[in-house]
Amino acid sequence: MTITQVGSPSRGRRHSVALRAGALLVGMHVFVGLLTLVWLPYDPNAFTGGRLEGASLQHMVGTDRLGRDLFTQLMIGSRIALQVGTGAVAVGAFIGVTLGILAAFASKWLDDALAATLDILIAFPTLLIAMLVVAASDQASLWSAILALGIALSAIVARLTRILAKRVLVMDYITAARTSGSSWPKIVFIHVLPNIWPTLSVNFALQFGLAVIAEASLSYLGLGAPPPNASWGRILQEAQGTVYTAPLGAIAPGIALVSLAIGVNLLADGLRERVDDRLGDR
Amino acid sequence: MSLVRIDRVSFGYAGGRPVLEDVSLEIGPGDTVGLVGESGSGKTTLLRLLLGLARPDRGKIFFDGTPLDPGNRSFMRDFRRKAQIVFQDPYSSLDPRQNVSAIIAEPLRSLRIAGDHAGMISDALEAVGLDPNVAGRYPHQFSGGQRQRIAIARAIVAGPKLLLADEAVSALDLTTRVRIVDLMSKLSRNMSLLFVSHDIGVVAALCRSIVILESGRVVEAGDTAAVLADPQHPYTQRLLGSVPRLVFEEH
Amino acid sequence: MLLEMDRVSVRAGEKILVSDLSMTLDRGERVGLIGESGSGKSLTALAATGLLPSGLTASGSVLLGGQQVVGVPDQVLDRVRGTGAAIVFQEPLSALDPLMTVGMQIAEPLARRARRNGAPITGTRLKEAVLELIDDVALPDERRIARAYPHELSGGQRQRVAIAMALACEPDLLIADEPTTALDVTTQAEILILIDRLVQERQMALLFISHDLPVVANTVERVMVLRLGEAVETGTVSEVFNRPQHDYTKSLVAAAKRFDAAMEGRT
Repeated sequence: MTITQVGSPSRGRRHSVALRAGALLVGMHVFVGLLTLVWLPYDPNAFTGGRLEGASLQHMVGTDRLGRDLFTQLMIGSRIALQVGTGAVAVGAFIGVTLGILAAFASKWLDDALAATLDILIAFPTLLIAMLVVAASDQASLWSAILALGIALSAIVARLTRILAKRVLVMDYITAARTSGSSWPKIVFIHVLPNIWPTLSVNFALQFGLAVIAEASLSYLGLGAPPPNASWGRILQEAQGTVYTAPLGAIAPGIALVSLAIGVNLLADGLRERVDDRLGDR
Repeated sequence: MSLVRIDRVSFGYAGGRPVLEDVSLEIGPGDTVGLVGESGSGKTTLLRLLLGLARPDRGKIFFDGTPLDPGNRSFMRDFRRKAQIVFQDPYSSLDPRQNVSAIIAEPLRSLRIAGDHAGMISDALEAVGLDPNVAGRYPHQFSGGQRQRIAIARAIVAGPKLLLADEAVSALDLTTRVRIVDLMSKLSRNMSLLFVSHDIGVVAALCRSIVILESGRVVEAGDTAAVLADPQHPYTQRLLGSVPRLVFEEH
Repeated sequence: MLLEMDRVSVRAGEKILVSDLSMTLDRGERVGLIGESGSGKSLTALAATGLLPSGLTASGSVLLGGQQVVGVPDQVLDRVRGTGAAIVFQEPLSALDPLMTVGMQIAEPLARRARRNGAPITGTRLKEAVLELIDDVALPDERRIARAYPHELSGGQRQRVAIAMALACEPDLLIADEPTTALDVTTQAEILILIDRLVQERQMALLFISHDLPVVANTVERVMVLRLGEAVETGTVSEVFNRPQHDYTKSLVAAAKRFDAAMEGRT
C-alpha cells in the first residue's frame, strides 16, 4: 500500500503554486495594462525606427513594417485584452446568471425550452456567434467586440448557473427559507447566489481566458477593435506577411497572448482547488 | 378548537397512483402527534400540504379555524410565524454560507417580526442548549446533533404554535438522538408537535397520540400506548412485529 | 481461524482513524461491530479485506483465511477477496452497476468463482446458476428479476441482489456493513431473516456492522463496541447488553432501552 495523504499540506502547496504562478502572469499583464494609461515608451502610431527592425536596446522586440515600436503596441494589446476579457465576462455573467436563475425557477416546459435553446447555442463555436453579433452591428469597435463575446459566453454561463441553482434549490434550507416566509428574490440573493458563486467564479476565470483568445481571433479576422487599438490579434495579422523576414513580429504577440491565457487558466485552477478544499470541509 | 384540522385530504400527481387518499387528522393545542409511515406512505407529502407548499386535490386543511390558503398573503404571514419545521438532514437544512445568527434570524427578518432580534436569537440558542456565543460560527463547525439544535432554534425563534418535524432525529447517532428527543419533548410543553417518523420507538418516547399511515391512507390512529399495546390493523401489527428489540435470555 | 486482526491501525496521514484493534473470527461465527459515526467500524471492515481507499494506510496484521492482507499488493489480494470474504454495503443502489441487468451482475462473480474452482461454467448452465441464486435470496419471479435493471427494483430487492452477488463468490466470511440502514422497518426485518438463514445454510462467518443495537443483538453472538477508532468493550451479546462495563456502552444501551421501553409502554 502506498502512502498518499488526503487534504494534507502537500496538496495545499501544490494549488498555491498554480495560484501564485497564475496571479504572477495575470498581475504582470494588469500592471502593463494600467501603465499604458499613464506612460508608453513611444507614441504607438509614430514611425520611430526603421521598418521591420530586429530587437535592439531602443526597440525591445523590434518594429513593425511601418517602423512603429512593437513593444509599445504589445503593451496596449495587454490593456485591450484585459478590457475585452473583463467586459465580455461581465456582460456574459450578467445575461447568463439572470437567464440561468430564471430557468431554474421556471415552470417545467419553459425550463426545458430554455435548456434546449442554450444547448443549441453552446453547440455553435463562441467565435462564430461573436462574428454574427459583430456583423449585425454597424461597425466594429471595442464595444461591439465586448458585447459580441459577452453574448456568446452568456449561454455557457446560463447553462452552468441553471444546473448549479437547481442543485441548491432542492436543499432543505431552501424549503426552510420558504416556510420562514422568505420571498423568491430574497432566496435567490441570500441563499442561491452565495452558494453557487464559488463555482461560478472559477468558471468566469476560464471564460476570461476564452474571451481573450476569441478577441484576438476577431481582431485577426478584422472584426475586433479597429486601429489605432493595437490588439494582439491585429498585430499578429499584420506581421503575417513578413513572418519569414521578421519572425519576432509574429512571435511576440503570440507569447503575450499565450502567457495571459495560461495565467488565467492557472488562476482558475488554483481557485477551483481552493473551492473544492472548502467544500471538502463540510 | 383544534389547532390543525386535516379534513379528508387527497393528493396525487398526474397519471400516478394517489399519494394521499382521504386523510383526516386533528392536532389540538399542546398535542404531541406521531405520524408513522414507511417510504411511499405519503408522510412527507402530507407535511408539504400542511406547510402550504402544495395544495390538496380534494379536502381542506384548517389552521386555527381558518382554511390554509397559500394564496392568502396576510394569512400565510401569520401562518408561517405559527408553524415551523425541522428537517431530517442537518447537513442540508442549514445554508453553509450563513452564520448561525443569520440562519436563526431568517424567520424574524422575512416575517418582519419586530423586537430585539439579537436577544431573541440568543434566547432560542439557549432554549436548544447551545451557548449564545456560537452565533457567529458557520454550520461546518458543528456536529450533526449541534446542527439539528441550530435548526430547531430557527424553528422556534418566532414562537410557533406548531412544530413539525420530518424524521428530525433519524440521521443522528443513538446517543445524540436521545438528547434531541429530550429537547423536543421539553419544547413540546409550549407548542403542539407533529413528529413524522418511521421510527416507532422514538414516536413512542415522544408522542401521546399516534397515526399510522400506509400507502396514503390512515390505517390506525389513537392514543400511542393503546395502539402499541393492542394494534388492530394488520399493517400496524406487521410494523410493530418488524421492530427489533433488545431481548436477552433473562427476559 | 478465519480472520485474525492483530493490533490493526488505520491512518489518514497523521490522523489515526482506527487504533490498535485486535479481533478474531472463526468459521461459522457471528460477530457484530457496533459504533456511531466516526467510530471506524466501516474502516475496520475495509481494512480486514484490504479495500481501504487510497490515502488511508493500515498497519498491524490481518490474516484472512491464512493470507496476510496488510501491505500486500492488490494483485495478490484479488485472489483472496471474494473467496475469503465478500461485503454487502449499506446503499445497494451504489453497489450495483446501473447499466447492467441484475442477471449479468450476478453472473460475473459466479463465473469468476467457477473458474477459480477449476470448473468454469458458461451459457445455459451459468444462466441456471444465476436463477438459482436469485431464488436463494427469496426474490420472486427469478426470470423477470434477472432481466431487470437496478433502478427497476425496490430498495429491499436491490439489497437481495447485492447479497446474491456476495453469495456468488462462495465466501467463507460475509461482511455486512449497515445492510439494512437504508431500508424500511418491515423490509429490514425480512433482510435480517434472509441473512440469518443464508449464514446458517452456507456455514459462513458473519461480520455485521451496525449502529443499531437491537438489530445487532438479534443477529450476532459476540459484539465489539467501537468509539472513535478504539474498541471499548467486547463480549457476548448478553454480557455487553445486559452488563455493559464501559460508560460509553452503558449510554448506548440506556438509549436503546429507552426507546424499547417506550414501545412496551414502560416510560
